[in-house]
Amino acid sequence: MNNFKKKFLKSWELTLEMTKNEIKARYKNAFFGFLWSFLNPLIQMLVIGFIFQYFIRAPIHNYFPFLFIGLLVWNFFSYSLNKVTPSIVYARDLIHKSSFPRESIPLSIIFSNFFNFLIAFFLFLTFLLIFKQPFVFYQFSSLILIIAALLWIIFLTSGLCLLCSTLNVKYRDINFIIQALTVFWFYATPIIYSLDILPKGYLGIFALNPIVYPLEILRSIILGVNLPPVWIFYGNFIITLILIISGILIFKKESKNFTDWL
Amino acid sequence: MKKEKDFAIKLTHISKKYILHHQKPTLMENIFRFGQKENFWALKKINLELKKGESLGIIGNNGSGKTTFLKIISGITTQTSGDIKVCGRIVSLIDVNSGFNQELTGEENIYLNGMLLGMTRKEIEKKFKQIIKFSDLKKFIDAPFYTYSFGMKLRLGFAIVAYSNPDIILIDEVLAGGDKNFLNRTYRFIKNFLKEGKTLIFVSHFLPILEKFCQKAVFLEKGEIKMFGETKKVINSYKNKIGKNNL
Repeated sequence: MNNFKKKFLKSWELTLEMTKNEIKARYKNAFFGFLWSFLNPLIQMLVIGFIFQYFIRAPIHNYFPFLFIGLLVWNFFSYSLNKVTPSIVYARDLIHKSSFPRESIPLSIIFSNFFNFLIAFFLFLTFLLIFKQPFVFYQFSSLILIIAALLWIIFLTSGLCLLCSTLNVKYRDINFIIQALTVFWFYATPIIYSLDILPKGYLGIFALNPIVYPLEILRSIILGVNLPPVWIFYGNFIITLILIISGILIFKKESKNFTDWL
Repeated sequence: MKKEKDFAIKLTHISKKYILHHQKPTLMENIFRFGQKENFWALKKINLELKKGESLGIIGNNGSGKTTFLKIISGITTQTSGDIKVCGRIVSLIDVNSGFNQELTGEENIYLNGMLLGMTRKEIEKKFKQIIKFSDLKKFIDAPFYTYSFGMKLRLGFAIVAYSNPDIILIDEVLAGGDKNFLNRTYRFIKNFLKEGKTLIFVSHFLPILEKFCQKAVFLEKGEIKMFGETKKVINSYKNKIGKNNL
């Protein structure tokens, strides 16, 4: 048991070190530093928000913050997925060195992205406080729900990323498939639109898209938007579980022989 | 009292199968064309036991399975069948670029590489000065790794291996790129290392070094052990074999 604990701590330390390197490498030469992780969704929000608010007239209350949360979550998710999928292949130099725990590679990328996400998220909350938007952030229970939603997002991303990065070692075109899928997935997620404005018959599709519910939880707590029906929750939750379990199992099985394919 | 195990490495019936890829493997190809898979046995039923304090040299032509052998022992890849027992911390120096991130500085890479070898941050902090001294890279330690020459990478890689408190060291070929000065330092280190009852496995085509470092040697051919014994005898038989083929 003690041995297991030691092993776990070491792999954790390695993951943290690689996360730090990842964060450092990303902003080494960027003038604005980590402000970019906030500026990126901000610019996206302004562009998309402007189009939908003034040209198409989306009937959504508080459209700009509504959009911003969606973009933040989506950027974290899609950026992680696209970066982690080829990560094992790119890290061949590290993998050929020793038998260190391979999961450190994908997890370090996800954690560094999550770090950026958190910075942008807190900046966003601060803005909301300043402009006195209606939001329910003063209760302990809503804080717990926010943390639960964030954990959901991070676990979902990790599971899917483990799965895709493993598959990409064996099938190098997974990377391209994921890139194409991300574009489609963006529109299949209620980021620029809300579920309220859709015809009820289409809701079934969203039960299959596991990123929907955690996103909607965040929105409902921060902006007071109505939550989608609970059966969407069940669908999302089950798919999330399937992705996490299959991701871990497949990664565990294949990671022993990664070097044979690299 | 529990009896201390006296072997460092014990291999029983180790075999390794690779699937030959003629192109980059893709999913589309797998779906649309039931690919002709070609198997290649890199190692066939290897049996070997090495005691603590022994040093083993491995010789053989290219493609005889030397690197696969090291990779299975170090756990970088897993055997297809057979059983392997390793006693102690094992570290490897198989390729000078492996274990380094080209974009990071030398200093950051010492931490990364050290942790890959199983050291903790604290351990690395303690050994940091010695590693820099051994590698002779004081001036360049905050330069990015991609600016390093082959020799510099080699020195840094070996220094980290040397100070990672290993019980078993695996070295593949790379030492040939070092200069006389470095080789002398390496030689002194390995001599002390073996005196402490630790184990070295060394792959090289450079037979004089092999003879200097290793008491025992294995001659691999096509994934099988052709000969195992005293280094001198094994080298002689290897030379004979090569000589015959050349005639």
